[in-house]
Amino acid sequence: MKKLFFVGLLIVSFVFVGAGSAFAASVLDEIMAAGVIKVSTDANYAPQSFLNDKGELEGFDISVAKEVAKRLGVKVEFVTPDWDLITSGNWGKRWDISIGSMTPTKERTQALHFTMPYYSTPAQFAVHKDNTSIKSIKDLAGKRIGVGTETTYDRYLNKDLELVGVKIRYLDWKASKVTTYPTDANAIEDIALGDGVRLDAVLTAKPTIFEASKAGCGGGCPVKMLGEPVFYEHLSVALDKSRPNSESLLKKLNEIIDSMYKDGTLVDLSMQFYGTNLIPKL
Amino acid sequence: MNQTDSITRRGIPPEALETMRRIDARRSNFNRNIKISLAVMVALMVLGLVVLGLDFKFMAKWLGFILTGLGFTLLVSVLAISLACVLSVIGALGRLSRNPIFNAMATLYVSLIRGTPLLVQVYMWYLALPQIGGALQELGFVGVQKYLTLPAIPAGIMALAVCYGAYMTETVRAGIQSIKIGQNEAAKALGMTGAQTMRRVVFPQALRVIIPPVSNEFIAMVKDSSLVSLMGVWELSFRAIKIGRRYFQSLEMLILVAVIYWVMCIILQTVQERIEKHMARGERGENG
Repeated sequence: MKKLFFVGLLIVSFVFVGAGSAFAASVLDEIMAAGVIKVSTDANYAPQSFLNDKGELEGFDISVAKEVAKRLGVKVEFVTPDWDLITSGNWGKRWDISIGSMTPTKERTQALHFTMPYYSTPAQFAVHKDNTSIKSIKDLAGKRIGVGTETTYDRYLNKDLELVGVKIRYLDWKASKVTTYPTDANAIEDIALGDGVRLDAVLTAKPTIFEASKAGCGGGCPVKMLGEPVFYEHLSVALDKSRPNSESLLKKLNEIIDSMYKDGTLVDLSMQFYGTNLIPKL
Repeated sequence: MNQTDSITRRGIPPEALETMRRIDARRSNFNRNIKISLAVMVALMVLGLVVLGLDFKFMAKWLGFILTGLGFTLLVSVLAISLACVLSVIGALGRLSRNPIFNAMATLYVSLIRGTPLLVQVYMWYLALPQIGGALQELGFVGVQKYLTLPAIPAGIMALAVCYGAYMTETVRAGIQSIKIGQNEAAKALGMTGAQTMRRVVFPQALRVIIPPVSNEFIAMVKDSSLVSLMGVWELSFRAIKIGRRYFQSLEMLILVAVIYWVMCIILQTVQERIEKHMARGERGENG
């Protein structure tokens, strides 16, 4: 019995060593050979990535992903894991890239490679429509503010946000209580309950607030924007750092994004989904 | 009715018969009142939903889309409970084993799994396994990571099966232990080995005790299967949550999906009652 076990172990280890000696292909080669690129996206944010009236994925990120795949010459396949699972890295080949409006923060660069940005979003405060006491961002001192957990907005309020290549100016006041939600949409729903019921303000992406007040909560969520955006974040395509030989794919993606800047594709998509140009000038 | 008929046939004095009829009537009265109360409570709940001012048109519009996720929910639950059944029998035999290693393994399994949240376990299967694979690969087990990187559905099934297997281990163990020692002794007297006794005498009888609680676990699992939505499986709750967030109307979608789960569990409960009745067929009184 014991002998059999060791013989088995020996065979198994030979198989593994044998497999390992095979040529280690680059991620780009693997994608081209498979003829399909697996893209993860978090379908929680309209108009970046959401389920349309037919229950299909749609949005700016989805269109960018389709265009990237087209220019690579492969098919696109979407996976929709929880946001935390995407940002934590170690994807283990379950998907190849993330096109999910991700901000390259310093922590994330430890687990992920980032391409050049493909667009940028302003971070915007919003309050309930009926509110009259909060007139400027300064008036938010000591108020209750809702954000999505582990978002850049959450970090910003905690004065713990380091963006690659962006200088951040923090506010000189502190919120009395920062409430975090699984996703930004929940914060907006909570402020929509009524002025000061649970929250006094939310901090999230300007397009999200725009979309909510236009088409959310049945007939438009009762929220209004407050002041100017507090910071701008550049959003990039992410690759798993734990997967070896990603460099050629990263280079190729940068070339593709660059070409999408040059021929105006990104601006067109931004106008289509956001109604405004969110593409930074290079 | 049947009961009273057979009573008459046995020639019971009419006064006693009258008392029995009255008890019977009281019982059916009680049952009727329960049904009325239930109906009133459900009506109150529906009224509550109306007062909430829910967007029923919105809910009706997305009902079909959400129901499409039923397949995944059932697939994950059925496969996971099947696997959990196998695990629980092995676990119970381990817990009752006189082999110290086997026994300790089963004890550790039950203690560890029951002592940690299912949510954490789901993450472990999904996130930690590939990382272990990576570490093993660096130790020289090349190619092992590929096999340890489970896709979402298998990872979810494994997490649920292993978790419920631990709880059910205790159910199965209790079922086996509920069989009187006399059965063991009788089997031994007939010359059966330990394994034969377990297979032919103890386990078939224990099954009768075990099956009702196991169907109970299944009902619980159907709801816990919503945890696989974390990994991006488009089952019932995933669909509801995404649509709710999309239109900033989470409450409507959550209530809708809750009702779907509830109806599903009512159906399962009816099935469970049937099974229980079926299993109780051969039951006899203490002295029988």
